Amino acid sequence: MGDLMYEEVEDLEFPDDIHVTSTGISNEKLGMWVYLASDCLLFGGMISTYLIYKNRPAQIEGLEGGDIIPSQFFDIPFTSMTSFILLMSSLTMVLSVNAIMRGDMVRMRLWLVATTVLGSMFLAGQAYEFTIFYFDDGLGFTTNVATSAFYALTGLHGVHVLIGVIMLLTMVGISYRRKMHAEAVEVVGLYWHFVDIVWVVIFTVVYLIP
Amino acid sequence: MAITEQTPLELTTGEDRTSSAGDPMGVFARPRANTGWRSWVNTVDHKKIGIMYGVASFFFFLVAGVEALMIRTQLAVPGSQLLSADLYNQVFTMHGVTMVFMVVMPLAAAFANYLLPLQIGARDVSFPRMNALSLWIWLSGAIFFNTSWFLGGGADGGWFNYAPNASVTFSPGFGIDFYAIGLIIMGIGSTVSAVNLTVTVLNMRAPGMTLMKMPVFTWMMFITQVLLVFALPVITVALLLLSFDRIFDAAFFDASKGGDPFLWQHLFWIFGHPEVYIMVLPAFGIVSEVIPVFSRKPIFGYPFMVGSGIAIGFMGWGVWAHHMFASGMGQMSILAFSLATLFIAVPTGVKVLNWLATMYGGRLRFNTAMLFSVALVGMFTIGGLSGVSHAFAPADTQQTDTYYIVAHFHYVLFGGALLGLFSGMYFWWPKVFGHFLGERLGKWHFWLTLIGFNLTFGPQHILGLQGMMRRTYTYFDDQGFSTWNLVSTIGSYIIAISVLVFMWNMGASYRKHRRERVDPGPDPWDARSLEWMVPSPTPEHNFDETPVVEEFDEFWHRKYGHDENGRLVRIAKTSDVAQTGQNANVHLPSPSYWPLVIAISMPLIGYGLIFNLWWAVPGAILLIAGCYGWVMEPSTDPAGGHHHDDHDPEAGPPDAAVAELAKGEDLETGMSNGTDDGGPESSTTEEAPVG
Amino acid sequence: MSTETSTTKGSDDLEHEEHTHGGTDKQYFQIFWILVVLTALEVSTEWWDEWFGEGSRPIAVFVLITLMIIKFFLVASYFMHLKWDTPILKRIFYFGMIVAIAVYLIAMTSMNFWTDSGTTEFNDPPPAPPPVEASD
Repeated sequence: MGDLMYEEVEDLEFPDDIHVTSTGISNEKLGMWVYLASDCLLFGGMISTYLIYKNRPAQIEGLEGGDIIPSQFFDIPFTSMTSFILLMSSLTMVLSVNAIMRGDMVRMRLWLVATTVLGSMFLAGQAYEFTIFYFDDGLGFTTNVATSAFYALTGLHGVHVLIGVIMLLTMVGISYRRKMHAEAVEVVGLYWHFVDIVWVVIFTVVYLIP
Repeated sequence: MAITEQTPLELTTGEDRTSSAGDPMGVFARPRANTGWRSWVNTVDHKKIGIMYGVASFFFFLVAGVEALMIRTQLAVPGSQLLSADLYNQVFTMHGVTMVFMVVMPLAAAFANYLLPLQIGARDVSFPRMNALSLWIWLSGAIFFNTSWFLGGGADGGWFNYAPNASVTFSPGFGIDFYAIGLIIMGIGSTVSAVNLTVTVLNMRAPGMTLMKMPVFTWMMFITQVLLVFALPVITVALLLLSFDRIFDAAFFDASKGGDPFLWQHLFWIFGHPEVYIMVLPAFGIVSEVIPVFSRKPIFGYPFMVGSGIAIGFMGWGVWAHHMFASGMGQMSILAFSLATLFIAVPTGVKVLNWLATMYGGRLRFNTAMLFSVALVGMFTIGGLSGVSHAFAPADTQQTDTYYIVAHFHYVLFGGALLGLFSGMYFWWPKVFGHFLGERLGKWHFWLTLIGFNLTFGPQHILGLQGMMRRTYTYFDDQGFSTWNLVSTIGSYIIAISVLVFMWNMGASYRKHRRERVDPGPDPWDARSLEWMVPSPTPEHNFDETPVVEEFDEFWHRKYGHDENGRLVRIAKTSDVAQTGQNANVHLPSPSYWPLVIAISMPLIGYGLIFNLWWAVPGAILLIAGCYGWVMEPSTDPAGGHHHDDHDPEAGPPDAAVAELAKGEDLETGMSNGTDDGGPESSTTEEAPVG
Repeated sequence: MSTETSTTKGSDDLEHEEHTHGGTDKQYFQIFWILVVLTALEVSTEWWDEWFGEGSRPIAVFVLITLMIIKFFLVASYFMHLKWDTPILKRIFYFGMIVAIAVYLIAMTSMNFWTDSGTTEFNDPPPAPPPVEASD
């Protein structure tokens, strides 16, 4: 951050070339990035909680809730599939942003809807995974710390995806009633990609690393 | 940071910006009241929001003050049975939480909201509706938290609420549920506000106002907001886990199921230590404004002032475990955090030296604002020194959970934060309300505060070193604590009297102002920064025209120059360089109901989570409705009576701030919700129908 | 913080007027396929134990983390436009990320996460239930 300030001293010449904002970035986008930076710490906290707790029930004998841990039951091929779907939704999202930047509203809606569908498929996959864990494998939210931490982490991510899906749908709806800012799509897209990269981390750290 | 040639607001969008605004799609009629309570409830004006922050947090200051008096009265004599042990636990917990989250933080937010846009030469913050949202969410969370008194008792785990004490087993009442959910709600509000103000400082500066020309107060508030942005999610994680434990029977902090109480300590203090700086840096900023003005010298070593603030902002992340030396976390950890803690004293020391050097050789005027600031320098230094003594782990192990700690953090937070905030009130009162606070009563207020404060907390150093534990509801006569406890209690009542004097002063000054209006003018103190360029009280549109900034302390340099001998000479009359506030032709953001609607939904969901999930349903509906109403409502009222075709954003408006306002605020709630509430979805989607 | 490591062959020259603010569709497809390949590689580590034996596990962890970081930066730089946007966004975001990684790694270290993984000895062991023979 330090160098940022000093650079700017040189850069920002006043007054007559008018910048809409001091940094040249719109408030919306800057705000979203600041929020995403803040969200890093939210997910970081949840991920470390899971990491600390993931093996405890298996390592400490005699705990209430038994020694089952979620990682015994991971279905990697299935989760890889849902990860792939979320990755694909990131692609459709950028395509949508590119479409509106060209002024192509039809394709923008198309790609937004595609993103929504892919996001919903991811959520459905997560719900399916949870039901398998819960009903077939006996992993309840309160079974032990490992399961609690697992559900809390993936659930929090799922809620983020859900909010993203709702935002995308709302945007599709609004695009019929009003002119859209390309930047509005881009900013929602930022959120969506962030949810995706968080899943990249969760998928690796939680599911793949033994 | 390259300012790119193309301004990103002009994306190659293909959209047609000249189209008409479209229908507002609002459910209610757009609020238009300019007077009366409605104008406050709906407002998105940063100045009104700042004042409301101030009023509300002063109310909670009184609440927490009464709680403090209860604590001190209980401890006045040995063996007192005035409060039961259980009630005592609740009182000190509520006192601590209220003071931290409902007094010091929002009072700083009051100053930030009011002054940041003025100091950087902006018309408003970057997201005015979000600003209102953060006020109302914070207020609803604060009220929610305090209603626990009437719904089964307050939280009783201490403000840091260690596990396993916070579990249902040891605290079966609802108090800690209110703590967890109340703080999550307030955290959402603070996150919204922090994002908003961060963006404001980065993006809304007047032409020429580079970061290194910003006033020190703006700088310190900026660092505070950045700290908040990154610290709040950590406590949110901790509180989420805690509420899962308490409400949904998880076992994150329950050792019998493999949970680790230590995790709570880490999460809490990763937030908690930056929080200390979040509380004290605003006061540092205020003092850095007050001392130069009343010394008639520029702040000494401005780059060091800023740099030390940034250093505190960085290093504040690496010292949290010094709160945990007694937790048995192992030698390596203790060693590392002990060292880091010693280092963080350096930038703070730099600040103290800079203040002293600013005063050195200056033409000092000791009015009340200056007295409070000078007192801060002294009192905070005492608190800082006792803090350094905690950095030594062996000593700290002895001091942990004794009154020595209590004395230390009261010297830092009362002697640091609160004295600075009082100083700021005396300093900016004329700017905000158009009249001075009385100096005679102000001096009484100051001396009573200073004496009462030192009588209250000074002896607690001794008590702590004698071994008196904090959070214990009474003590025995033969422990030898009686004398100093009595002194301490007397001191606390002196503080109470000083607060009464302050309130009397507010009332008396206002009545005097009503009797005979004396216009303080734009610049009553012969001050230095941009906010003094506008009339007092600040007109609704802030600046008639956005000032173009050429140097640090711009306003001062417009008034004063140097002759050939380097002597300070007046080059312009204040009335010539100040603005008149007459420009009525400024477009302002339109007021809105939706922030209030969203804010009201939060405590409803909170009560639902605690008592019966069904009760959360109306809250959830309200939340969703509020979010959609927000998104559907254009940020500027098409029928608001302003014709602002001259503000075409594409052409690059003559006045950057105005255009920004027009488009600025829609981003919105997307920010707040990520924290967890599943809330305001849509946000970013809206187009601001400018033009 | 750039990720020119892979990908950008031949695409940078596309940055004329319209594309200063982002990539082309084609570029995004390229990135996407790279991500797919990396993900497939990640998933394949699940079977490395069978293919290469238990000894490959540390390498697998190393590879996984490397791939995760590459994927993270690919998405952040291209899909999220950090590559094209003003550096301030990059600084803000990576500052948050670095703070997150730092504080949580320190906290986990302090909780003996690394040394205790795979053993039953925790820093502050939860109270084990009383031994059976003692109670009986």
